[in-house]
Amino acid sequence: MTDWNLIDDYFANRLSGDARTRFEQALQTDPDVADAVAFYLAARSEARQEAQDKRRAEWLGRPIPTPQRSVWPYVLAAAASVVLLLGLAWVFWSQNPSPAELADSYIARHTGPGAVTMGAGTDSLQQGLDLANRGELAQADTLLTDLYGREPTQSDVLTQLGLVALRRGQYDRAIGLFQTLSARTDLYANPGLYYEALTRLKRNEPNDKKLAKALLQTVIRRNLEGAAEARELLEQL
Amino acid sequence: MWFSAQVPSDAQWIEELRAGGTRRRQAENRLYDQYAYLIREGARKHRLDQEQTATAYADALLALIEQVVSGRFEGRSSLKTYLYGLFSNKCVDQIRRKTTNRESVHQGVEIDGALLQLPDESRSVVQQLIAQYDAGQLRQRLRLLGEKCQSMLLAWGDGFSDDDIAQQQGYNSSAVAKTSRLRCLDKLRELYRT
Repeated sequence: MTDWNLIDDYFANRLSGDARTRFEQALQTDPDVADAVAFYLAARSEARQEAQDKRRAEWLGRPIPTPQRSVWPYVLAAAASVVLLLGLAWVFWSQNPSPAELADSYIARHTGPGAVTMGAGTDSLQQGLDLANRGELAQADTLLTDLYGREPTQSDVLTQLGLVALRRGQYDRAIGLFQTLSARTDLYANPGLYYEALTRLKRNEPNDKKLAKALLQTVIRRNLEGAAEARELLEQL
Repeated sequence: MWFSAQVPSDAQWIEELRAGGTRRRQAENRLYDQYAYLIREGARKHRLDQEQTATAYADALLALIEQVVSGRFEGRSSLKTYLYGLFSNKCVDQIRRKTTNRESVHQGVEIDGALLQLPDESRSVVQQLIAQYDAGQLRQRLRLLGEKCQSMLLAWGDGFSDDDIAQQQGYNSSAVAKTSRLRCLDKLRELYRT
């Protein structure tokens, strides 16, 4: 009679040291024990194969499920796309400033500290320029308006008054003052059209950009004051 | 314990597979579904038909489960990576089988890792004795056993404990299950000899 229990306990490591040694000695000396062990292992191997065949057949009978992949790769890809687009937009916009931003950079060349003053003819004009350069625009406006009232033929006063109005955001008033200036035919150098173009770019109302371009082209064609900057500006618009 | 829609971690898979009983069965099925998309990928990559790839996938998963349950899976890579490696090898086996028609070759009893438990001086003798057993005939006799005996031996072969078998078969204790299982083994030997 085969002692399956002993063989089973041996392979399950349930035998004590002595019992294990005795079993291993019997395995060497008793062919029946060796054959029983061989059968035990062969049967277990075939039982495993049979169990796996059944399991395999069960699985192969199932429909293949559609992939259940995480949505995170898609979310990350979408986020990366948004970041990329924002980056591209930033690069695009930083390389292509808006008309108002362009106008700001050109206006700065003619106003504020270090700007070309075109030569202040009177003490009051110089005082008005100083105030404007210090950013005290309201006071500069009052002083220049008063001066313009007293000396309407002074084109420098009209120019500076227009620039102050422009810097104060009074675009309609500035345009009116620059149009008055550009209408003057007695001047050697007249920046009226050029400044009107800058003011329109800054105001950026519908049609302003188109009109500003036309004004700049006129400045270039007639080689008026600001023609070099007008050419530069047109290339960027 | 499963977390509803989340993919279990490797530690959770291993715990469930080693828990035995119905927990193991559920984990096996869920693991199968989890990475079943590999079947389509494998068919495309290895130019096999879907049935062959599905067989390769099932074989890979069975090998993985066996290694996890027996404690041979060391966790040096993730379960998914390990499964993918096994699956690729099984696909290659399928390709070889297709080209060399290896199915017709007689296969003996597969040598069990348990042989390594035997002392060196007995191992080769037992190995030779195993080789004398006809695997096909042994399998046929196994199928001739009663349903209860058969499922008990299959569960044993599949690595389920006597405790699991007792619960599955409705025995009072694992000791009773063990006695019944060994009686079935004896019956199988008698059948094989006839």
